[in-house]
Amino acid sequence: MDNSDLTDDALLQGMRDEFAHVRLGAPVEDVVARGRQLRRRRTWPVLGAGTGSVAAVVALTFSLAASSAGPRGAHVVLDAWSVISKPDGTVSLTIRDQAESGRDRARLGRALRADGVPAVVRAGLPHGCGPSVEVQRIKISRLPGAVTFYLNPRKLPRGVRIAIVIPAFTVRQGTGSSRRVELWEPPGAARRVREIERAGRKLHGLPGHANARGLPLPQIVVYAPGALCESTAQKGRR
Amino acid sequence: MSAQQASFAEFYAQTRDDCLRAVFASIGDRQAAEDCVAEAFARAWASWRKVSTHPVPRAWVIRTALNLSVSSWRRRRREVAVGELTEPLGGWPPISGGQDTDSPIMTILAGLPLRQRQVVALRVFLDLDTAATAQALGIAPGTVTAHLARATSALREQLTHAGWEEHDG
Repeated sequence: MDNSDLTDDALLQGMRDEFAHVRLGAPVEDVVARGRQLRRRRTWPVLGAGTGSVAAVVALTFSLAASSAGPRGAHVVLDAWSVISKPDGTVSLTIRDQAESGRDRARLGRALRADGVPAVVRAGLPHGCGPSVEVQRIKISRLPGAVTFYLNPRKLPRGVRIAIVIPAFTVRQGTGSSRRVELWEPPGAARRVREIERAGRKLHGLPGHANARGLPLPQIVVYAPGALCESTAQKGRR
Repeated sequence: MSAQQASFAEFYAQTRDDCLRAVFASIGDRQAAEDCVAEAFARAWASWRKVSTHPVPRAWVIRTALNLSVSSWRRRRREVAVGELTEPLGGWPPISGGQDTDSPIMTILAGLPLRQRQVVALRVFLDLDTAATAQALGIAPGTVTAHLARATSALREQLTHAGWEEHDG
């Protein structure tokens, strides 16, 4: 084919066609919720110090009330994570702070089970997880700083288990070239915090890639005894 | 749903895919593009009164997303890679890969200078004219024209060399 055969219009149309499969999946509700959060952050610092302390008390009261262990369908909304069930049976799990959610995994697991989700919260995949159960019924929404899973336990096949896998480390920005790597559940040891002396230094024995981009996100694994498991990590990359 | 939210929802539904394509073509990383575009739309909603009166709200979203991607890159560049736990966790897939980066156009785009990629992306996916593209990128209209000419010439030459054929439609 000669260069002159490829007109500008054909070239640009070809590019459009090549990218036709690229679509943004984030639901508008999530974007609006994030926008509201940004608005609140912008507005609240303007309030005076006096009203600030009142607001803190109100927020704490609300948080405690919201997070108290309640009957099935109760909402648990914390800074690090939230579990909210809707009247149609859909349960949403949002993880905003991976390390804190990992440490609080017992309560997170209880909140999910209270809403009918047969879930455990773990640092890694369960051993010998079972049949390849479809995870298409689990919807994922990723916004910067938060991952939300939506699932309806009534629509899951009978007998399956859900593992919420929250990778066992996080990175906190340090000053200069140092970074703090915080592990909430290192294999075979208590939680520890390490300071990295300089960027680029290799840390042995720490899990995964600790840069913010490569940081493994929480995922859901649906499994049952006796077969392979399927995780939302694969689904999210399709 | 308020009228303001309804207008934002309509704007989002109409433009989100094109904005993602433009940002993806510009930065070459699907996951980062999704994150930046979603955050840019959230910021657009947070300032919807102002953004809705912008001459080209889509361009505002794109510019915000591109700025976010630069900020994100600045934060990431000195972060540390540590050892492997990928196998016990079932293997974490790369951030971008598969169909997205196998495309010949994507490969050639990745070889173009950033500004040329941005100009092409805005013209192709948002169908912005020269003035709007210049405004969105904060550069002169003449620079847009020059970048577009160079980019299309490079794309045409390399695609032809690679044996790429016109699509039927």
